[in-house]
Amino acid sequence: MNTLLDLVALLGRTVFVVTRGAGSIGLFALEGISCFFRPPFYWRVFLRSLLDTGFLSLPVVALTALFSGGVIALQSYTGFAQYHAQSAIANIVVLAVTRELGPVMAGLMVAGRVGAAMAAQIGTMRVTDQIDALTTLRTHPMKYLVAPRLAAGVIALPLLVVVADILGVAGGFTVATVKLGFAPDNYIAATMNALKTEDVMVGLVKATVFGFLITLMGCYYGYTSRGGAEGVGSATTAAVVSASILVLAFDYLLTDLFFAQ
Amino acid sequence: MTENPSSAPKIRIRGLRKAFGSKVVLDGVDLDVPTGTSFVIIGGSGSGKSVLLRCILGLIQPDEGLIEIDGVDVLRAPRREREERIGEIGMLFQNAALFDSLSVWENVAFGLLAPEATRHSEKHPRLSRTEARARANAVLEQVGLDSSVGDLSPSELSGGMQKRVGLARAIADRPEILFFDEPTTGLDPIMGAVIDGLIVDCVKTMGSTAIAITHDMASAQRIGDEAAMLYQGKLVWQGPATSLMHSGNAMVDQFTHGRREGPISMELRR
Repeated sequence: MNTLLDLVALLGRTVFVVTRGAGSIGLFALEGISCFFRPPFYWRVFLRSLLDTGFLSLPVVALTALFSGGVIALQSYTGFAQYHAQSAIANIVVLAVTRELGPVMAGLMVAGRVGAAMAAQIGTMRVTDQIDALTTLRTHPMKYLVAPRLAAGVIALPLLVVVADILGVAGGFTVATVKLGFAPDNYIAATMNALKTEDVMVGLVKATVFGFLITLMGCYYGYTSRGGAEGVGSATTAAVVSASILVLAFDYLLTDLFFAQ
Repeated sequence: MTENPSSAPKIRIRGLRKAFGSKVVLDGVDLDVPTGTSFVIIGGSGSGKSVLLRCILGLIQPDEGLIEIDGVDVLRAPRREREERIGEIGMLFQNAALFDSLSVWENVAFGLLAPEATRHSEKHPRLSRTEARARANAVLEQVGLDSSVGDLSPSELSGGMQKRVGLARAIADRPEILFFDEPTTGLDPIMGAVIDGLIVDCVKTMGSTAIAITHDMASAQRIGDEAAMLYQGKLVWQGPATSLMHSGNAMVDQFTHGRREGPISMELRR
C-alpha cells in the first residue's frame, strides 16, 4: 500500500514539476515576445546575436548538411538498387533535405552551439549580478537580453536552412556523380523536377519555429539559473537537451500538420 | 500625523518584512536615511543587509512594509513614478558586476546611453556616443583611472580597478542616492582605503545620500556619518558611525571587535 502511495506521490510531483516548468517557460516566452512590440529594441545586441547565431554557425551547418546529403544518396542507392529504382535517388535527396534534414540538422547544430552559449552567457550574467546591474541602470533585462536573441534566432535559422538545403543537395549530387556514376546532367534535371516550392517553404517554417525554440530555451535556462558555476553548467545542459528534444518534437508536429493527409 | 516635508528623510522604511520559505530575512525593519547622509549598515553574513538594499531597488519584492523615496511609496506607486524614483539610485555591486561583453568605457556610459523611455529627462538627458565617451573618460579620471583604461575589457582589470570602474558606472549619471554593497570586500587594506576615499569624495561632491553595507569596520567608519546594525532581520542599534567601536551595545561591540563570546551566537547549521 505504501509503495503504491509513494508511486502516486511521485507521479503527482512529476506532473506538478512538469506543468509548473511548462507554465514558467510559456510566461517567459510571452514576455519575450511582448518585448518585440514595446520599445526600445536593442539593435546592436540584435545584430551581434544575428552574427553569432547565423554567420558563425555557417561552417558547422554547412558541413553537416553536405555530409548528410551524401549519406542519403549513398544509403538510398544501396536500398533502391535491390528494386532497380536508383533513378529515384535525386528525388529522395531533395525531398529528405528540404523537408527534414536541412531544418532538423541545422536546428540541432544551432541548439548545441548557440543554445549552449546563450544559456552560459546569460546564466553567468545572472550569477554575477550583471542582470541586477542592468535593472539598476534602468534597462529592462528581458528587452536587452532576451528579445534581440529571440529575433536573431527566428531570422537566422531560415537563412541557415537555405544554405543547408543547397549544400545538402550538393552533397547528394557529389556522391551520386563521383562515387555512384550518375550523369551530372541527368541528376540535375531529376533534382529540378523533384524540387517543390512548398517543400522548401515548409522547411523554412520549421526553421523559424526551431530558431524561436532554441533561443527561447537558451535564454530561459540562462535567465533562471542559480547557484554559481554549477548552476550555469546545469542551465547550459538543460538548454541544449530541451532545445534538441523540442526541435525533434516540433518537427514531428509540423510534419503532421503540413504533410499528413 | 503630517510630517514637515523639509525634515522628511530621503529614504523611509517601515515594517519591512521578507521571508524566503520559512527563513525570515527581514523582520520588521524601520529605517530613516536623512538627505545627504552617508549611512552604513553592518551585520553578519545572512543578516539581510543585501536583501534590504535589493528591496529598496525593486530587485526583490518584500512581503510587507513601506519603502518611501522622497515621500513616494515605491512599492505601491504607478510603474513610471516608481521607475523614476528608483532611477535616482546608483549601485556599486559587491563584485562590481561589470558587463564582460562591453569595454570599460561602455560599462561606465551604459546608463547614459540607455534608450529606455523613463530614463531620460532634462536632468538626465540622453547622450550621443561621443558625449557619453567624454563623460565616461571624465568619470574614470574622477575615480583615479586613466582614460586609456576605457578601451580595455573588464577581464583585463585587477579587482581594485574593477571596483573603481563599478563606482564610476554608479556615479556617471550623478544619481541622488548611492548604494554600496560590500565596497571593500576582496581588496587589500590600502586599496580598500582608496575605494573608501573615492566613495566619500563622490558622495560629498555630488551631495548624494548614500547607504553602504559592509563587514569592514575601518571602511564603515571612513564612509559613514550614521550607522546601524542588522541582526536576525531587525535593526538592533543605530548611532553615529564614529561610535561603532564603543557603542555600548553588547551585540555591536561583539561584532565590531570580532569576539567569539557574546550575545550573538554563530549559526553553524540551520
